[in-house]
Amino acid sequence: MKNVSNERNFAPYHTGQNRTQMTPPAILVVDDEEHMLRLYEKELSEDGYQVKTATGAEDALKIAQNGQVDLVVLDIKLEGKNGLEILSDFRRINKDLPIILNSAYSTYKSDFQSWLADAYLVKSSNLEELKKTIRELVNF
Amino acid sequence: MSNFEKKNNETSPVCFCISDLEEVLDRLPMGIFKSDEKGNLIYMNEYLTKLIGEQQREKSKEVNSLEHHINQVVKECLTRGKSSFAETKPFENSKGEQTFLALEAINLKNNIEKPINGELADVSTSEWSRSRGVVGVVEDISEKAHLEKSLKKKISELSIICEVGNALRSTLNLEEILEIILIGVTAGQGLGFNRAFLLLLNEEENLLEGKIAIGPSNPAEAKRIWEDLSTKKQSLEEVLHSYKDALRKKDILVNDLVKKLRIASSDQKNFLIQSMQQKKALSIRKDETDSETNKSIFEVLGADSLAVVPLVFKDKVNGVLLADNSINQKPIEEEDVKLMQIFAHHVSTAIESSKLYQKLAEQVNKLEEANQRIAENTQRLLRAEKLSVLGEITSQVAHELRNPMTIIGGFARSLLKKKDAQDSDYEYMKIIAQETERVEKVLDNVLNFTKPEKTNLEKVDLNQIIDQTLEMMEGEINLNKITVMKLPHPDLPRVMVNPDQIRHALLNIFRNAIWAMPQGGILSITTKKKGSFAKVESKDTGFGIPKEHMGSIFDAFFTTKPESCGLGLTISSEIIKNHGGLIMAESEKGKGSIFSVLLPFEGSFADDSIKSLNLGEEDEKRK
Repeated sequence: MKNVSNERNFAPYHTGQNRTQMTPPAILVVDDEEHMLRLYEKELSEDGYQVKTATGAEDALKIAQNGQVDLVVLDIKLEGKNGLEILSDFRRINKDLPIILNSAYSTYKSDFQSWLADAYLVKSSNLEELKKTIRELVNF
Repeated sequence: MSNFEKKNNETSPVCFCISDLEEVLDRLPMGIFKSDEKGNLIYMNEYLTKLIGEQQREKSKEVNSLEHHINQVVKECLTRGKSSFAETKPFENSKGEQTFLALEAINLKNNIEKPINGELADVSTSEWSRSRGVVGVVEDISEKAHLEKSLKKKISELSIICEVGNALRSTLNLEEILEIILIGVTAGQGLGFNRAFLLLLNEEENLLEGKIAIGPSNPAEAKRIWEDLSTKKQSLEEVLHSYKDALRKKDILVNDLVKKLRIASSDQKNFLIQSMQQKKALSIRKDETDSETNKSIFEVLGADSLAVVPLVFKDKVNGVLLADNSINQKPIEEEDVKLMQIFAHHVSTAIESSKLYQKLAEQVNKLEEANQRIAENTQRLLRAEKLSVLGEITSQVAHELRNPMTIIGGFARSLLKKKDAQDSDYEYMKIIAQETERVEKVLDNVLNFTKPEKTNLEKVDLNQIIDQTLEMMEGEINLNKITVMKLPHPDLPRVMVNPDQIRHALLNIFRNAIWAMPQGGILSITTKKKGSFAKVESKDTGFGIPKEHMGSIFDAFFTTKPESCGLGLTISSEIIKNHGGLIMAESEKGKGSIFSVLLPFEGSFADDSIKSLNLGEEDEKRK
């Protein structure tokens, strides 16, 4: 299921509220695979985003707490807590923070915890779908 | 001649007893006679006089008369000088009973003791041996004769019943049992009726139905058959076989006749029904009955007189056995009917055994079927287990592969964007991206084979899809020496499908066909219009699919190929079904298989919000 589930798309994130016109949106990519992070970092930064990465849940939450994050691309299988478990932690930090679940599994889509996310995408070498969703969510 | 000649009256010391003696002799329950030395009968008691009188009333023939017999015996006795015996032919006495008589005569020689020392020396030697006549008795041996006769008959009856019983026990086949019965009734060594008919009760329809019959259709045929058979001395059991052969196809007529007999069990006036209800044997003549159904039975069978016995087993009537003598017109004796009744008892038992055997056989069959079902269910269960275990493993492997594929393909695409299309590496990088995507799709299919993705649909020419698929397989086709024959429908309307998935589905089907032709062969692919469906038929000349595998070929992880994971046809089937289509297979071992795919022209996917994830033409253009 690689499509964005439209009915769960919340209102687009209004960039003006959290960042100046000059700073590009900061995307936090959380994935336990180093190479996956490298790919996303490369692709998203080339598209002009500011990219932050984390391989574990704790690191990810720290980054979200301490610095500017405008959107999270969150893998589900992680070291330590899994992506679904830390979804609510992110929401506690910033209830409006857009979160995209990005997993190799399509099965978690039926897990009600995943409904907290703004979008659920199955990983693909074609990043167009992801990029499109990010664009829509951060209005960039 | 009824008076005792008292010629020794004066010399007899017991003269006062003679009248008493005469009375005693007259009252004896047997005939007594005496002759003189010349053979003339000089005395007969009252009993004998009466007997002769009775016999003379009955017949006048001298030759067979009792008197004649007595004279013969006396003569013989005098000539041979010793005792003589005779038995008369039976005759009817005053009560109308058959009477058998036995005669015994004794030569009366001089009873003077031979002198030892000169006493009574004047008696000449010849005097010692001179006969003074003959005395004899006539005894009524009717009872003994009757007993003997009936004993003989009983023995013969018992042996018939025993032989038929043996023959009946040798088989449990109902048809054979019925044949033995009828032959037993008609064979000369058996009951000796001319024809026999068997009617069985059909409990469902409450009808007594004619089943089988035996017997020649005319006297000439009967004579020939019996002459043939009587030249050889055969036991009943042998006769059972040879008579069957002799009659083969000659008893069609009687069999046709008997099948016309259908009598309602409720017909109380019918003698067959009566016999069944009363559980009693009957013998009935055509002119004795008024009932219409009775008359029609006589007419159908062309008989004047019939014997009927019910077939009773444990108080239950199964039917009746009918017999007649319409060929030789011999009257039906009560004894024959009685014997037939005993016979019928064996028959009922044999029929009942056969029915029980049939029931048993049915039960055994059911049991076997149940066992087979259990075995099949066990197999299915095992397969389901295998499926679940393999499914889990496959799913894990597929997930593990998805991440590296995403990374490889992602970087390839990333690099591709910066390359000029003219760059020598551009093409290779594109191949990496495409191939990665292909792997990703396979992974998608593996992971979602139960719920194939509904992706975007296009109106496509199915013939073209087939051509593209075959092009992709060109290498395998040539390597395996496969001749492809395409018979495309020229005006096949386009179908609304996901072309990628359909190519994938067809590829698996064609690949399977090629695998089934290791020595090469012909793969014929035909497209047809079938109502609102397009039909693709893939026919191979391979080794075919064994019958027992036909039900499993579309099951996940079912495979007979050592190198396969058993998902090919499953995926094809899921793809086709997900398109609202149908996939079918037929196969003949050694001749090949036909796989038919039906796809609706209009498509059945309603969800068009699904986005393309292909690295298709559109993506290319966007760049």
